[in-house]
Amino acid sequence: MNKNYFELFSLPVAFAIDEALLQQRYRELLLQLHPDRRPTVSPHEKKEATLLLAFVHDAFRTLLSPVKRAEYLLQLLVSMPQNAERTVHDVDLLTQQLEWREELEALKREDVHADELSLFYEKIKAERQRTLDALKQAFDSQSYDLANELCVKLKFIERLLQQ
Amino acid sequence: MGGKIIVKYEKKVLDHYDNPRNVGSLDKEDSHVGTGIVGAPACGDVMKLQIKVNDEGVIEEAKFKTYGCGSAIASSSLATEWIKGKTLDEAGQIKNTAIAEELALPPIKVHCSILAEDAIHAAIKDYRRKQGV
Repeated sequence: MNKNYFELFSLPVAFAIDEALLQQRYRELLLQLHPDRRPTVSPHEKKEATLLLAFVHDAFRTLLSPVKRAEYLLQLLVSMPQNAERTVHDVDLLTQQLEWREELEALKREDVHADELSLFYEKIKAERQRTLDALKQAFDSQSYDLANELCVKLKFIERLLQQ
Repeated sequence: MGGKIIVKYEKKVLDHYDNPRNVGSLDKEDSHVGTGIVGAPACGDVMKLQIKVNDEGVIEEAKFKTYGCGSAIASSSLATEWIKGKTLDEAGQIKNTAIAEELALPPIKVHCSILAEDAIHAAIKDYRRKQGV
């Protein structure tokens, strides 16, 4: 368990990730560690295996989510603390978020066509993709402060898409 | 795994949530208006709080617009109620702990009251910047 999450799945330490490969390695590890496959283990070994399974599961969930992956990388590469409850003051970012939420609220209140709502979500999804691309570039060029900002932006966008 | 945490809201939170006070916007270009806009990335909450200050330095109007959970809405609603009629210095001294206590927020929701305190400070700062103080 002293491997980092990327090493655990034998993947390069980078923001860009081969998702299919991650899924495949995850399944392989699960099969390897499954207690049913090793019926003769001692209670101690069983406990160890359970802990390891939890670790593998956390690692998988972290690497699968772009936001969590970016936060994990910032912590791993430059020990940038990721305090989830900190307040953000970026006026431009927040004004944009406020406008989008107002737009969504209006679309849901009025008896608008479903296409207008789906057009709105298309727009936000396109913005999500642009942010992901920018995030990859920021990590590639080791611009970690920028990566941190983009990660915050991505978080807000993902919350908006969940609404 | 993706399980939702159910938070039971206290009566005061529900009251502010159902009947939020001072929802709306003030003209952010007005030199007497200070606008504070803050966000909490973890929950995706966005909170805008605006104050209108008279020549005596007293907050005569306060408005908010919050996109977030019930506790965030209640915290900002209560904050606007409390700062009305106060001077900027008095308003700046309102602590998140007082908001959390008044609304009986559970520990997991205390950050909503911190967001409201930060929004008050941001609005005061914006007003002072406009006034060149």
